[in-house]
Amino acid sequence: MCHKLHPANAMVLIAVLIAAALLVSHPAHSALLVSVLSFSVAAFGGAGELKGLLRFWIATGIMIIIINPLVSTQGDTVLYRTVLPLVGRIRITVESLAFAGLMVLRLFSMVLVIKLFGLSIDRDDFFGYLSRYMNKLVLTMSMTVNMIHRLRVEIQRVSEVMAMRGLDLKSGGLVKRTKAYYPMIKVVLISSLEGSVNRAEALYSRGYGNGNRSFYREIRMTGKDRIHMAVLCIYIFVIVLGFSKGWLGFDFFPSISPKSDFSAAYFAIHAASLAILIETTRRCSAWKFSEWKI
Amino acid sequence: MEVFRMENLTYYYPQKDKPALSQLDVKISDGEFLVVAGASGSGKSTLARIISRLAPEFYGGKIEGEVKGSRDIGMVFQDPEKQLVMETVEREVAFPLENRGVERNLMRKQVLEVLSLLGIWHLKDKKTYELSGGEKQKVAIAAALALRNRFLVLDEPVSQLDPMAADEIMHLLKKLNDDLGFTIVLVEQRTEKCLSYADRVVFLDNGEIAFSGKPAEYVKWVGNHDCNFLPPVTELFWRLEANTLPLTVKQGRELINRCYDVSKEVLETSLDKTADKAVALEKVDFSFDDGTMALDSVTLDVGKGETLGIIGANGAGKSTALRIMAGLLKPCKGKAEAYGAVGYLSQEPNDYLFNDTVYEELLFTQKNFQKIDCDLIEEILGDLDIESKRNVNPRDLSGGERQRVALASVLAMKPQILLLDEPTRGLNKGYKMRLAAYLRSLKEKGKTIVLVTHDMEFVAEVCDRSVIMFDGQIAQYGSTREILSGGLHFTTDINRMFHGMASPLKIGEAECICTEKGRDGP
Repeated sequence: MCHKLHPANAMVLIAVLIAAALLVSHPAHSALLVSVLSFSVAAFGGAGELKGLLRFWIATGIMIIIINPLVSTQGDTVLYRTVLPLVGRIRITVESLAFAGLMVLRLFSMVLVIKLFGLSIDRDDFFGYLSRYMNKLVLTMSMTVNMIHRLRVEIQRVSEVMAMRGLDLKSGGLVKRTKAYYPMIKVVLISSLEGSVNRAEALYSRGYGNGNRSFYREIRMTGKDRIHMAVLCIYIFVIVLGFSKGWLGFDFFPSISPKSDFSAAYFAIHAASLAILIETTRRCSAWKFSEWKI
Repeated sequence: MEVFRMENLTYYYPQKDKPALSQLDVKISDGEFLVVAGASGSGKSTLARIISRLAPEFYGGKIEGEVKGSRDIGMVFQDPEKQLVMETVEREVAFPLENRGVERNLMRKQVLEVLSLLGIWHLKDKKTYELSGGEKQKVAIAAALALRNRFLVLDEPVSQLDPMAADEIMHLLKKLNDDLGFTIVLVEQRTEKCLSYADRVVFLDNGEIAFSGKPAEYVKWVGNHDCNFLPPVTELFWRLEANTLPLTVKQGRELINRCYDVSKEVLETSLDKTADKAVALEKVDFSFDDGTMALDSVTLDVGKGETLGIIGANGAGKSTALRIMAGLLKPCKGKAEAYGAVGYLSQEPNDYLFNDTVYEELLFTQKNFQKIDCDLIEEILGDLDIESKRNVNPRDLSGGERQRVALASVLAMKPQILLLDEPTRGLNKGYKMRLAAYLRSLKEKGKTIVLVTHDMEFVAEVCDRSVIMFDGQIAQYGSTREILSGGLHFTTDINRMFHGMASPLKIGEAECICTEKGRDGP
């Protein structure tokens, strides 16, 4: 039988990786996170989906890099300045461009962490495990996850329908296109909310939340999970160490400067500990596919 | 023995002044197979929710009167997609048992037992999202049965399934009722598949019980009340004024052999294929991103002013072919062209509805094409019988009404080619026949119509030509009579009944070829 990551491990893993993705501000370490996570998503069998994620990342990244310097006028190194009617004073700086770059890396790290989470857990076990402690939260989560899944399918369907009804979603400026998307988003949101009510009804009709639950599968922490947790603790230590020494920090404003000198040794340790963590997760999550048993 | 009783029950949904059900008295006996019929919006689903206690416990609202009886009731909903909670089949079936705190070993036994009983053991480790519609519905039934409930309430469980899957589900229910003594309450709008299984039929009209009795009495009553609720086979004999009204094809065939002379031939309608093409697919291949081959070298021409029906099992590639014709998908290989403005109606009418009123919904389409024509909107509203709903929010309408608004919003763009994916889904027979008449009138105006459907009666009513698709390929292409005549599965109930005698497809045709040779019965 295929062993998946223990739900507790999965929760700690996602929390640590999200914290790392959001808090690490050193571009080299952020890029390291993105590259190791991309590789691991591909190794987990999500190579096909990675292509789609890349397209999303590039499109969103370009938008962030364009919008951020327009909104944020901080930074000492001015590249361009002008005054535009309605918009006002525009001041594009190297610092705001660099910060936008970091945000793009962070965004992609977050998306990859969530993808990795989805690939490494057994959703049924996760659902069952959480419901022991947080019944109402699980109900909300189940409906939200379902809504996200439905959103993806419905956006595709509704955009086809709207295109056939003459709605032009591809041409025109930003304002026109945003306006064109409004009917589509409205349809999708209403339908998703209706779908979630149906799901809640199905959950209710099956007695969910009625009292003490029992569990079809015993979810025990195995030796593999304990090893994974140990590796996870080592990674947490490496991250905490990096922050305390300032190796993971970076100042963008008023001018670009690392919080402390770049440590190649620490970079190597971070890369190694992250790689080991991902590999351990992979082996725990897809035991039957792995050649080497832990 | 009585397992359920409601007395003088009136129920109001929250924030509604009008009751959804009014002064209902219903008794259900142990092992009874009860069919609840009625028009869309008559209160059928509400009755199912009251029986299963979802109303008022989940929905809230106000209830008057008394409800007594078993609370151990399994509920199966209409849409198989929206009721499955877990990722794998085995865990889905175990889910209600987990919620009741059943001990692990007993739970395992019950899960495996119910999977075997329903013949879905082989699906045990499958992901629920990988299943077909029929399989999903079987899993939902299994989950409802896992708790050893001997009382099942099903709300239109086959309305979204193809005919083969629908037959399987109906046979399964019959088996549960006959062999194991389960009490079944089945809510259905189209009763042709279930009437013969029923011990009793309750017909709801505007939240009240208009009829309650045996199926044989029901068909006589409903024939005089509204013959649109009669199954096609029964309707034929009702029109022929037979003393006995059959409920099944088999009973109908026996009655024909006994009491009627059948003239052999039904004239073929001549089909002059126009030289002008409206839609052309040439050796079209299409695969989805995951590599699944949906269309394999499909070549198909649709002439201008022609109505073409595309039929076949789920997953045969019908909807994909339609989306390629609409230009929504690009063929991986081959050529697809449509010669004229294309209007496309998807399977899900809700995808069209977001404006505050029905009128605005139609206006929205016209604004996008910059062709505002208020007279046309009025005409369409009248033709589709939604004139009275013009100022109503489309999301407040019933399923059948939503379907008509969606179609109206497509027609508002005045398309030359109309592509319809399952246009009869959720419509009762009355509206279906009105839609058929409307599509015929569009054809007379020179419109080209291509429709994908599981509804063979509708194909026989509307389509000049038909295509049967299997596994992404065209298995047969020809006149609708040629395609449907003598078919084992892809044909109408009327044609099945006359198999070996003649080849009528529609009730009207069958009526013309039957001559009474002696009155049946006393």
